Amino acid sequence: MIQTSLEDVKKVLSENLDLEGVDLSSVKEETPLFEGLGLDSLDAIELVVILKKYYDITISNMEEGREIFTTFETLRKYIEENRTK
Amino acid sequence: MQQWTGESRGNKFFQKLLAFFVKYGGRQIAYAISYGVVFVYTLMPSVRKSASFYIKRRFGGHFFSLFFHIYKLNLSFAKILIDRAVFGIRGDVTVISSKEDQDLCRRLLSKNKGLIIITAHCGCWQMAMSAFDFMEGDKYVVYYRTNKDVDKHVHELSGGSSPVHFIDSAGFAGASIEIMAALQNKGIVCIMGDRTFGALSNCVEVDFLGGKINVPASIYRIAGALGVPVAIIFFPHVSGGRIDSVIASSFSVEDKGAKPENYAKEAAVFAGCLEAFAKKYPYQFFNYYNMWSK
Repeated sequence: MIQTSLEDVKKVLSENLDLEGVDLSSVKEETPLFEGLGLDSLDAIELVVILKKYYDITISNMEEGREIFTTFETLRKYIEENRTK
Repeated sequence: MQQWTGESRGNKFFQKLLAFFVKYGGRQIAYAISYGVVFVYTLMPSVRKSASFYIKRRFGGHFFSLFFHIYKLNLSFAKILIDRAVFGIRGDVTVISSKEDQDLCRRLLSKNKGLIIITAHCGCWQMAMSAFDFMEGDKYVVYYRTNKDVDKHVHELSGGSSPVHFIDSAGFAGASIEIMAALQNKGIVCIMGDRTFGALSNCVEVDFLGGKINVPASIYRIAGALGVPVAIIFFPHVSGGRIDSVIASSFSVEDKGAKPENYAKEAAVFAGCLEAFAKKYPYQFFNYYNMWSK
């Protein structure tokens, strides 16, 4: 397991998503990912791409994807438990 | 935002009537009845208006020629609905794809990345996946069904199980994650390339029949990000009970990042194929709304 902090996740997302107007410092573990950042379906594609590119994680199950992308904490935890790089 | 409503051309009563005639009279009886039904239907101003956006672009013309073209368009649509019902109830429809197209599909699938099939609301798109029995792998259709959509799928008419999985385009995160999950499992995903859904910021503008329309860009982004090959396939209705499956184009998409405008070239290829289809089969293009509206 590779330790992954919320700040690590926020940094990667801010570098790869268009988050103009979003105050990332106010984002907490329980912040909903899509509603909290105002993400849309194109951003969802980028989230899947980010997981593959930065952590070598493949989402191959829709239900799994729905759970992973619920909040920042669910995303962080999943990355921490499944990343291989 | 999108202009289309998802409302079916017929209503539930018409669907049931259609199923009755198909079941007890067969295709030819149902075809014969459709001439009169469609004529009455075409007399309705709202019906003519919804069809006129495309017909005026395709043919131009005045009131009488407009009525004639709209009647032919609606009649063609009715016959396709009848064939779909025949397919579901009696199983008497043949979907033909050439050996070359089948070989091309197999070559695309052999890349082991899954396959994206982009089609459009033209010809017999609702029976599209029935043409792909020869392809191995799970098949998915991205589909948005509103409560105004009363059209029944083939398997709903036959009472059997669906040969494809449906992905709701109004589902979680606009279905992007579900589509990508299916493709990462080497699935075959069929999606409509001609209708926008949700915000226009996810679309790209292309030339089509002398004007500009918006088409979704996200599927090209997915193809680029995952390295999935794309095939643009249309399904013209050739004659009673016979549907062709024609690959209009196939290509790979380079990973060009997230911006929709980066995929304008691929979207333009699709629009070009669709325009060629509309020119070859003018009465098989079924977008009953103003695609050219901003």
